[in-house]
Amino acid sequence: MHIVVCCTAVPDTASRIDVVDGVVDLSRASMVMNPYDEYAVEEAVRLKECCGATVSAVAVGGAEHKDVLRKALAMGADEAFLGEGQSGDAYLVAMSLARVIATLPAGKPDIVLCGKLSVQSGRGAVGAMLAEMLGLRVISRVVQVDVVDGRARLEREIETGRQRVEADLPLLLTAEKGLNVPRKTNIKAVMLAKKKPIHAVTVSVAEAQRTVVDRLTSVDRRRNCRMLASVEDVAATIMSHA
Amino acid sequence: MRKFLVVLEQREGVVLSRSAEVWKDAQRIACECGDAEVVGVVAVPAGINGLESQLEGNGRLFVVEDERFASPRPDLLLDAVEGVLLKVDAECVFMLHSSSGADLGPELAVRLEAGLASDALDLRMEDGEIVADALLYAGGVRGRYRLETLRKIFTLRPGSGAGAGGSFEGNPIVEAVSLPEQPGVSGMLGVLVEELVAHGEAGDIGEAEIILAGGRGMGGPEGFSMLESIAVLLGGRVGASRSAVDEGWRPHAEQIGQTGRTVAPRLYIACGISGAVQHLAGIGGAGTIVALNSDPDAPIFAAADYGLVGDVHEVLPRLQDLLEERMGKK
Repeated sequence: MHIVVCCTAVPDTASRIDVVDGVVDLSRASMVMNPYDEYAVEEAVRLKECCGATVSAVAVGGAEHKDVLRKALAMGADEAFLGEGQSGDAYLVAMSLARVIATLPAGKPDIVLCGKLSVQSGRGAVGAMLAEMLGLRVISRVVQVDVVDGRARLEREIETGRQRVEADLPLLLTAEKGLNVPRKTNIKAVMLAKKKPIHAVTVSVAEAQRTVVDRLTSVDRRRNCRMLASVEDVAATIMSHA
Repeated sequence: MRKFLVVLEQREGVVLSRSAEVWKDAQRIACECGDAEVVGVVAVPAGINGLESQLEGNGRLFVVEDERFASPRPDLLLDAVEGVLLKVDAECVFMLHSSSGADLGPELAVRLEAGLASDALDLRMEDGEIVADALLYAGGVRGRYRLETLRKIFTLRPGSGAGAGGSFEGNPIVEAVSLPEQPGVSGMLGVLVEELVAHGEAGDIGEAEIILAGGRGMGGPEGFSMLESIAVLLGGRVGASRSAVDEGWRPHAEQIGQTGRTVAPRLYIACGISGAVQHLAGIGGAGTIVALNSDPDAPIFAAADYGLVGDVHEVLPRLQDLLEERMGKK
């Protein structure tokens, strides 16, 4: 089985992220693997361990994604590929991923795993777009994956509960929190991963962005808090707003 | 005449309140544009009628009926929605950014070569264009979506309608649509879906207008029963911070924040929640935020409208008594 897992680097959202002159300043942010991609990588490796598979980790964009690919290798991915080029909107990211996936030595994927969304953009669009481009069914927000004889039994978490889905491979799955507990990588795994190459793939998507985000500003989440003196005041406040 | 398509969601014959808000948003934009019609499409299992009477404003409502829609099926919905869109030649599509819309919007965007504004808020007209805002970096940065394509798709953050007020006369006219045949769609024939409701009676926290959320300060699962009692009293739902979910006190379905749900209730009461950035990301759209915490320096107070410093184990039982008195239940 060939499993492709897509991952991306995002700024740690606990770090300081400023907007200066309409441009986001990430100079004080540390870059980490998108948390939802950690679930995806872990699941890919878990499936490899139980069912036998080759796991290809893929990212697109600049060199900031190399550390994330190394982490995927340290967690157990077999090979890592970076599609070099600029990031763009979800459409261009998905197109670039599709181009890289088309070149993979292990051939067409049986399963493509992505995180549900990136905490940077919050869109969650890349997975479903990529599926459409690859001609795959997308099953999003999975919290349980079992694969037996080319058929997947999944549970996905939606607003009203968990939905059980069965479908034949190939599939694209997006990982929701709770799918698994991503393994910590030990020093040995990290050192071995450093020795593996990150294969550079040229991706030239000569299309314009379809979705642009402009007029960026920092969000001030502060409100004017009126401190109350007693539980009676709280009750009164609740009654007037309920 | 311009056509705006709204993909609606219903459960057991009732249009989701957040979905009906999207319909109203589309009506508002159509009014501002002048010469525009709002067309809805909704998937239903057999025997569901009368949805049009739940929607304010003129237009049409295409109802796609199939027994498989007893459970949410974004996979089946895609072809049906594409069919209606091409039939009416809609230039703009609006839908809720729900677990369905978050798949459907991107898939449609690829098929139709359309720009996509995901999880957008404050839908409005600006300089003759339909635009909406984006929240990035866990809600720390706000921007404006501009879609550079002829066709545009907006998946809207639940509860974010800037003009959810106002009313429109009339109801849409219903047209029945059958599910297109889908030969050869990969994996389609092998898909089997059943729903397990794991959320008990709580349902969809995103639909709640009053939420009582608990964090690490609740001290354990037992503390949440106090929140549950008050929630029942007020007709609200219980939510949880990431800490409470990670401790196993509450299910992930109740988690609010960056790796949980984004909610926009009229009233949000945060108990024993410190107010980390990632939690605040989930409640930016809340109407009024009341915070209870034993730590006077907790960051939640800076992001709340009202606050009380105190021990939740003392405050909440007292609060319940007072609310019961006020509501004449004692």
